[in-house]
Amino acid sequence: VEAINGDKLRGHLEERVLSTLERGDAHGLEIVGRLEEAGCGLLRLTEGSLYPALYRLEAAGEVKAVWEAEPYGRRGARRRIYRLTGKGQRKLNEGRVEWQQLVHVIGGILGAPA
Amino acid sequence: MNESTQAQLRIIVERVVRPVRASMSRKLKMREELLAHTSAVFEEEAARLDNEQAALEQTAQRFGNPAELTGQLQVSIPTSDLLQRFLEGMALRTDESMLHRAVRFTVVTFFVCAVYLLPAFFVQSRLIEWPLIMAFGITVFYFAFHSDLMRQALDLDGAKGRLWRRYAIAAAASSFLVSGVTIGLGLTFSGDGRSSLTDVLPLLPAAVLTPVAFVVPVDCFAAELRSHRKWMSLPIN
Repeated sequence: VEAINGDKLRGHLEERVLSTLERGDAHGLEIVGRLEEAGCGLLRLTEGSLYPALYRLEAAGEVKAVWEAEPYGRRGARRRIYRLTGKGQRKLNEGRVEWQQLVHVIGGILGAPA
Repeated sequence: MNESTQAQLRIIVERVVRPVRASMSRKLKMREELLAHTSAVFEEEAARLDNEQAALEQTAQRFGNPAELTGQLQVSIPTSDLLQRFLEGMALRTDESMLHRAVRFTVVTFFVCAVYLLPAFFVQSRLIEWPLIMAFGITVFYFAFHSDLMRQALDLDGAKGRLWRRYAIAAAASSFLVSGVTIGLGLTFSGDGRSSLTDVLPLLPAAVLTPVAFVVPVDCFAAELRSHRKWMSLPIN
C-alpha cells in the first residue's frame, strides 16, 4: 500500500494531534510516534509541520504546554509537554462527528458506503 | 553528540525559524523546542544508521522543507505577538545612543499621557494635577536609561565578564527613582519641602527594592538577547 503524505495529510492534522493527546500528555516527537503508530506507518508527516499545528492549538486554548524541567540530552534544549484541555476535547468530539458525516457522504457518492 | 553536529542541528532549525516574522522571545521558544526535537531525531537516526553524516541528512529530511515550514510557522503566529514585536523593535534599535532612546521613550509617553489625561483633567476640573504627566515622563526616562545601562553591563559574553561596577552604580541610582519622583510631586503640589520629605519616608523600603525590580527583568532580557545573537550568528545559507 502506498504511503499517504503531503496535502492529503495536512487536513485534519489538528484533530489527529488532539486524538493522540487524549491518550495522555506528550512532547512533539512522542506525538509523531503515536500518529505513525495509529496510522500503521502509512501516514508520513514531515515532523516540522507538527509544531505550527501545536502552536495554533495552543493559541486557541485547545492544548496547554509546559516546559520540561530538565533539558533533553547532555547539553540539549528543553522539550514542551502538551496536554489536551476541555476545549480541545470538545473540538475533538466535534471533529469526530464531522468526519463520520464526511465519510458517510463521500462514501455514498463513490458508491462505497462506510 | 559533538560540537559540530550540535551546530549542524542548530542550522537546520535556524533555516526554518530565522525568516519567521515574530518577536524575539517567541522565536527563541520555537528554536529551543525544535532543537530538542531535531536532537532526539538525530540520536534515533545515528543509532539506526551508525553514521553521523547520514543521520544528519535523515534528520533534515524528516524535519521537512525549510521554506514550507517557515510559511506554516508564520501562519501560527498570533496577532497579539505584533505588539511585543513592536516594543522589541523600539527597545532594540542599534542606531541610537542610550540617551537618545530614553528621550524618545519619554517624548512618546508624554504625548500619550497628555492626549489621554489632559482632557480628563479638564472635564473633572483637576488641571492642577498636570504635573502627574511630567512624573510619568520622568519615570519612563529614568527606567529607559537605567535599564539600558544595566542591560549593557549584564549583556557581555562570559569571556569579557560583566561590568559589575557600572551595574552597581545603575542599581544604586535606580533606588532614587521612587523617592525622587515623590518628592518632586510633593513639592509641586504643596510647595513645602519638609512635608514632601515626610511623605517620602514610608517609601524608603520601596526605594531599596527598586534595583531588584529593575535587575530581574533586565537580566532575563539580556540573557534572551545573548541567546538570540548566538542563533543569528549561525551561517544558514
